[in-house]
Amino acid sequence: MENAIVKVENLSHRYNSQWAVRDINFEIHSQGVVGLLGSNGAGKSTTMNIICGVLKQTKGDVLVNGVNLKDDPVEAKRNIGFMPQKLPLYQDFTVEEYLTYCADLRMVEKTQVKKSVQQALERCGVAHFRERLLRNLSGGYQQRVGIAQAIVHNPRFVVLDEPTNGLDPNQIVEVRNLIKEIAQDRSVLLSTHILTEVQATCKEIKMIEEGQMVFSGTIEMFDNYIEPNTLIISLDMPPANDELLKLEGIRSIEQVAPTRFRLGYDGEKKTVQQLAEISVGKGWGLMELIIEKSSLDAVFARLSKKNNK
Amino acid sequence: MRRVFKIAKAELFTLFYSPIAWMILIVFTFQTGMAFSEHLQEVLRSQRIGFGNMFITANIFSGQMGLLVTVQNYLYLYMPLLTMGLMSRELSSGSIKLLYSSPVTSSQIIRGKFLAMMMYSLLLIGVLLIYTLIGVCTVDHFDLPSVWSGLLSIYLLMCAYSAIGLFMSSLTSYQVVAALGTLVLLATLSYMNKVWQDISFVRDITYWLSISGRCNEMIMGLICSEDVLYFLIVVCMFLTLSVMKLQANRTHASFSSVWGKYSLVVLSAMALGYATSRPVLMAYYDATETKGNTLTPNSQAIMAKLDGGMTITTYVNLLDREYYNGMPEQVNEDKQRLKQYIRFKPETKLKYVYYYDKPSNNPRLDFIYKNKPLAEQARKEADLKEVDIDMFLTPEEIKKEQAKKKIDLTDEGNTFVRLVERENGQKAFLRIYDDMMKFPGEAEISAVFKRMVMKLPRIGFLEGQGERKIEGDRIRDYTLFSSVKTFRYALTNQGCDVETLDLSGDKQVPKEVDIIVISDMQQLMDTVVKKKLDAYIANGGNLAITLKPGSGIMESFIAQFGVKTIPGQLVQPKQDVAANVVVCRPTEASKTIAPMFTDMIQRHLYVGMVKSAGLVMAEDKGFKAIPVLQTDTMKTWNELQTIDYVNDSATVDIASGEKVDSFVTALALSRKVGNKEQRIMIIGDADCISNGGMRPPIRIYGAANFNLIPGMFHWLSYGTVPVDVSRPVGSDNEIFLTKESLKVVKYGLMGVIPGILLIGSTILLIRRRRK
Repeated sequence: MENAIVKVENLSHRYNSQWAVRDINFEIHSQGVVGLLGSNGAGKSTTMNIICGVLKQTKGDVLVNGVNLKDDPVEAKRNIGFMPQKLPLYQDFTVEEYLTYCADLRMVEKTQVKKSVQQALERCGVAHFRERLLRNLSGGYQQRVGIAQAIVHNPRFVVLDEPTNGLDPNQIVEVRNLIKEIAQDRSVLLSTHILTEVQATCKEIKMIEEGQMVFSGTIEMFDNYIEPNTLIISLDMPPANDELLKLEGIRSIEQVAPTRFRLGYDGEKKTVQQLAEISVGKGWGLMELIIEKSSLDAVFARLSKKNNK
Repeated sequence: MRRVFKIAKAELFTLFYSPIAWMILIVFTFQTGMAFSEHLQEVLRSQRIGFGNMFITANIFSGQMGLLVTVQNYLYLYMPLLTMGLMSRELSSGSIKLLYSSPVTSSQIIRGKFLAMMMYSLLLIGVLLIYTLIGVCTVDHFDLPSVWSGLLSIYLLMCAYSAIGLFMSSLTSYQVVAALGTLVLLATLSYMNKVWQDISFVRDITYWLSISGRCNEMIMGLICSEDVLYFLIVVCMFLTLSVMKLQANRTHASFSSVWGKYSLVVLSAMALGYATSRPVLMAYYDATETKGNTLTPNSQAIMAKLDGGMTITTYVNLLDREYYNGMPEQVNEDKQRLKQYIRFKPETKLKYVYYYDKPSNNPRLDFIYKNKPLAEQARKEADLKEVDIDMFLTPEEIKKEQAKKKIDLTDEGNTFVRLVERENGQKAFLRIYDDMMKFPGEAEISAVFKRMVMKLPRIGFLEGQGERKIEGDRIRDYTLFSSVKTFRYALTNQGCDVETLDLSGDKQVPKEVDIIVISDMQQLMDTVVKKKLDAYIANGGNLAITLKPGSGIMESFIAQFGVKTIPGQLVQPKQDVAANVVVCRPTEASKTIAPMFTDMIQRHLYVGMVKSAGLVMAEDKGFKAIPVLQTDTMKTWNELQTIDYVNDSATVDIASGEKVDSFVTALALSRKVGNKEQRIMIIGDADCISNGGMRPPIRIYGAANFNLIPGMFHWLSYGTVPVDVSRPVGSDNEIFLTKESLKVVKYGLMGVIPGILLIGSTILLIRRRRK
């Protein structure tokens, strides 16, 4: 198996006496955006801070590009870009000065600094504001500079903590596109509350609740995490409800509209096929047959709740 | 290192992209510019008045309110304003995460921030360099090395303040709290030399910790390893603490482990500080042109001869008026008084013994505790002074101690006194005196040590013919300058043994007597005495002779040396003062006799004589004569008529033999007798060094009759005592400025430079804001 870009092993952290995260394990192998979900206070920021070296974990290991953050933090951090929720900007600097400083801090080769800054400026679409003071930039552009500083040294792994916080809808779309773009050639760990954002950008999801990992998988797996086993059927000439209930595999019926029903079923594919065949065969006038999926909100709520139990 | 440098650069930019750095630079420039110009003005005024200047460099830069002293005093106001944001800003704005998530260590962050402050401090030093440069250009023989030493100390102080401020800034995300915290910490550090001073050992550590006045010696031009290391240790300690704080921010370690580590760092720093402040480990370099902060070569030579161990025990009597100077809380201050000697004999042990007994100098006690026993007096005094009576030995206990050491403190009046003991058993007392300075100076201390390494002169005061006595307190006697222990310039405090010399009957001149003082004899010597004295003189014995005008007995006595007095008494009419009070100044030739006279000339000091005789060489008896004192340039003549000097005014009557002249009032005679040079000093007014005549009734500034005594006996003892501790005068005594050019300098420093900075910074900041 190829080397993981990030590998988190048995990560635990304690603020004073309380454990903020407990035994978290995950790996990120490929490029693309990984969403980090969790309710407020779940331990997302703690996890991200530890991965980026802002905090030192109480227990466990974080390996970035195979380098243990504990053993060689300097080397490990060369491959990390971090944009915290509160942008770490120097308000009295211009965009270019600031990015140059960041590049220097991140050990970009002296001769490459200018080029790296230029690339980051262009990538994040702030090149035309290079001479602007950061304090004179709008929120959206400040956010872009925040992302630019995270990628200026071309890290293999970027962590973005709620990057679209406080932006207007247009800016949100722009920033999401930007994130997708930069994720093309690196891994991005994105923390957010906004589930549509996850849907729009992430290919993988990790969810933390109460300091513990409650979900890790692709977005599809997340979608299907709650299997509702319901389907919606629209019939032009529906039979009596009892008749539908008698069919094999159908467990419940709920009339949503005069010609639209939600049927509870056993989740077998066969049942759905059968239902379609029978509907056609009996001339019920099949208009629509949809297998229902649970909403992300519902999954999120369920996962949070499950953990709360 | 590159990242440290980049962090420093970013910090400097942050400082200069906000008004704070500029404002501090401008205020600092203005304030120091003003102080510097004022010093220049004073020096120039003094020069234009004709008063003359000495040590101009020191006056401007390191004098009592010299420029660098002012900077030292005000620096604590500037630095917290600069340092408050160093880490607080990062913590409050969240930009600390940028640093934490970057490949930089906590130590690199702190070093970077500190480096920024070091560079800013250099800028402030640069401002001071402007003044140094002006000094170099305008002051003749500017004493640059001493100013370098001062600048170095100010720079080190800035660095120490920066490290302290940086630490406070890393503790909080509120900048104002960081600034106030720094001020509080600095105040605490300044106050440390008063903390726990009554507990031995602890007092050495707290005293070492104190930052107040740390630069004083270096500003004066004396670089001491202790001070330099102090700054380095303080800087390292606070930087380490800051690094630890940054690490603790990230780890959320337990309270006890964090504080445990902090304590360890502080304790190690203190241990290091304690070690570096031990005399044996100290090194010094005196950067001044005249080595003015170091013992004179003569004293150094004495110290070099003091081999073997030495203990200085200070006896402190609770009931003594001066008890306070030796109390435990004052011990470290007190040790400073001996620091220069300890420097050359670092293994010297210093001890303090506390006791109570009846003091000779505290009549207050008799008044308030009439007829009360000593023990009760002591108890009440201890209660009043809030000290523990148990730490003081009782009179009985101290008597035992004295018997053991074979000393007598009662003879010293049971007052504050130090006993110097050498390993070889030699002992001597080092006293304090009844004058403004109170504590012994270099001359007195060196005399005590010198007495231990060589035989010092014994001086016999001839008695039996109505001479002045060396005991009792009559106005005409010579007690004060000879044997009074509380008088600094008394010969007994300057290294000589004094004794009364009675040559009547079969008593002989003791072999060890080196100088005989013959003062204003009222009766003729009988033949027995005369024979012995003649033999002494013929053998080349040295003499100090004092007389009053019109004394036939003295006239005939000095005739054997070829000297004669001018008839009448010298008068010199002055306003408000009787005319027979005469101002006599050391002659140019007297400089060859003793350095004390050179010093008198330089300081414009003179000897005031009342009813004095002029001296002349009448006959050649083989003596070489050098005039030592001569009447002032004021009109002086020998008044032959007897007049009432209080109510009448004297006039010159040439016809009666009065003559206007400059008269010699002290004469130094010398001749070769065998291998030895015989030296004889004759003074034309026996009263001018008497108990009452030491302070002549004169209103002109500069009467210093007692200065005649060390000068005279220095010559008579061939330079052995009093120890010559005179120092060369610096050569930076002239300033090449005019009133007009000073104005230009002043406007430049207080107006143009701050103005340019103000306008420049305003334009820069406004232009940036618009970006």
